[in-house]
Amino acid sequence: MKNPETRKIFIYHILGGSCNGCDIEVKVLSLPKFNMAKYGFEFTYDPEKADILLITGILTQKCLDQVSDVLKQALNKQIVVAVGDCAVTGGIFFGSYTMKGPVNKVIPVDVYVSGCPPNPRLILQGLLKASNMIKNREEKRDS
Amino acid sequence: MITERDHVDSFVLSDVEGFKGLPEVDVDKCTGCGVCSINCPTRAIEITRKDKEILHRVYSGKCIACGRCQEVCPEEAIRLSKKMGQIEGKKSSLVIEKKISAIACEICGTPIASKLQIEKIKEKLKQTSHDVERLSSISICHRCKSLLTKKLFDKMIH
Amino acid sequence: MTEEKIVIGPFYPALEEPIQFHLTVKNGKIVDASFKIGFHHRGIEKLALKRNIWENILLVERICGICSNAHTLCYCRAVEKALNIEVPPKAKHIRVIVSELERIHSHMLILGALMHSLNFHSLFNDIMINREIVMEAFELLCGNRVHYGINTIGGVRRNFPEKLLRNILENLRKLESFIQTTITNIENKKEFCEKTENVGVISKSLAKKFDVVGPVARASGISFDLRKYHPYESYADIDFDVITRADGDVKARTLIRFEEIIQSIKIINQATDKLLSEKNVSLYSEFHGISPCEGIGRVEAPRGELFYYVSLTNTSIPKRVKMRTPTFANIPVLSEILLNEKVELALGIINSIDPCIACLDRSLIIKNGRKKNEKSRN
Repeated sequence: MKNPETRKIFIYHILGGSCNGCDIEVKVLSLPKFNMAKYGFEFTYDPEKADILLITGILTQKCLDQVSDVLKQALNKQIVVAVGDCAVTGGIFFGSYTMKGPVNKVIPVDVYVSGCPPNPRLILQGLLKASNMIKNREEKRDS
Repeated sequence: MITERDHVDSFVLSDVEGFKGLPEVDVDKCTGCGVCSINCPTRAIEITRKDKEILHRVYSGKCIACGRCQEVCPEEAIRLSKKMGQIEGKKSSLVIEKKISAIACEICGTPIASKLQIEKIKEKLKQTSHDVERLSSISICHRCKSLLTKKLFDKMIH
Repeated sequence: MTEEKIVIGPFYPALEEPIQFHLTVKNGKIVDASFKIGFHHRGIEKLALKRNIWENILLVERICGICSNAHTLCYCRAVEKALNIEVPPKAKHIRVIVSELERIHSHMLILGALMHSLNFHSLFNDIMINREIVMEAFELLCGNRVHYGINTIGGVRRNFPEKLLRNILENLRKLESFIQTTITNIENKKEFCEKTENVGVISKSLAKKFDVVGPVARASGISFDLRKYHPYESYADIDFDVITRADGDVKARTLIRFEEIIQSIKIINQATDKLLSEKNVSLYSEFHGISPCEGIGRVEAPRGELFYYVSLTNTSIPKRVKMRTPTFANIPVLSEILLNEKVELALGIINSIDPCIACLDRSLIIKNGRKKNEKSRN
């Protein structure tokens, strides 16, 4: 039985223009082998409801135009997690003429997860670090 | 293994034999030659100098774990480990740093090259040269070396 | 009745990758369809001119995360053809094994997405769970689940030990029985046939007019497979069937992919036997000297024919690297087959073409007959 104290943490996934390797490794997290539901994580398609913003890719201009309003509202509200080498430093595409990232040039980042692409167990560990930050922030607000 | 909620490790280790993870250098074998840094496709390896030490840095945010550094190293000092990646809160902490001890000039103290490099040169020269004084000029920087040569030359003439 | 304009994408739950569709709907049926691309354009052909021919293997691998081995194989074949390098036989068998394993995992991914968009959620879960058998095989053989890096110019970088291969073949037997059971279950299932029979039909003449490639063409009666008619590596000595169907609808495109997985397992078994009985132990051939020359490579990727052109100079930096991916040839037919279909079935039709948008965004946009400047492509 699930512990009734485990509250749900909602994740909104932003695709920023990459090879899609990281995106498929993120989608696989809901399988029973990795079992992210055990820690309370769930994907949502509504950015207002989300607690964590998960960003992959080098952030091309066209993708940035689609999500710019979501990113503007994210400051001080949600935890931003950058997953994969492309989101952290640009990776092997550094120097491309369509790159507007990496992510920390556009919005401040709270957790970095490196790898090309990172293993799903590593991504889950990064999400746990982000959920710890949410818990600390809520405890500070309550006290 | 996923750890407890309150503390999250920076590295997660894989249990697969032959896994391609972040590279790690064996400081007893590395000579600081820099071949791994030149052949890295994302320029993730950097060899710099700090005080009396040579630093070998691998930026995990840029490394794609391709294995080229392992293939080109002439000393077989760098190997891909089982570390899958790194998780940090700050971008400047995404680095694996190792110190290779360097030899400093016997006269003025500026660092010259790594200890292993100097020892390899001495080994090769011992087989040919018998003059002990000339042998000691290896562990001296270029400025002090030219002063020493001038002193030896003056001794020869006068 | 009034016309309604709907925009699907670029970020949509059942769509794996960002692409934007503009549909005009009247009475619940689609009367006009057009699409916008360019979200994943990273300028790879320009980046390839700043790196040498060995670093380009790693750049080209990361064009697409699903068919990454097909890209490196095609690029290495183009360079080997240009420089006249002969690959040793053991490397050929290893390349065939990895290509077929990749075909299995790529087909399972798109079949899972298709089942998800047709609302068969338990089947989507089962397919993705069984796909992990192949991902674990990759991690044990090549060291990574995605971006395996097994190819190099002149051969391969790793040897596959016998014990590991035998274990993997044992697991693939379980996968084969799962696929056979699934085919039997859905072939005559009423809910599946309602949503897929005679939906999104590509007739043989339409397929020839738009020059579609890969399983999409084979589902419309055009029996062409590069592995059979222009064999490369060691495919000429391996016995397998080219699966063809004549209906051209979404059901045919789905069932063909299931059956191709069975054929891939058959090929892997034969290639493993050849590999383990090979006497020559070398894994790659050395070469010296680069001269100005050009070469092409053609490979049957999971989605169709992949084509590369490489032009070299005296130094190790190439002059031109050009790639034509199979999705680029298959996407234009969507604007024809979406017409007069119900709008609820649109996503199923789009996913049955197997769009791989990361492979697709290679092009310049030509609008109104003039080439749009790369800087102002927004």
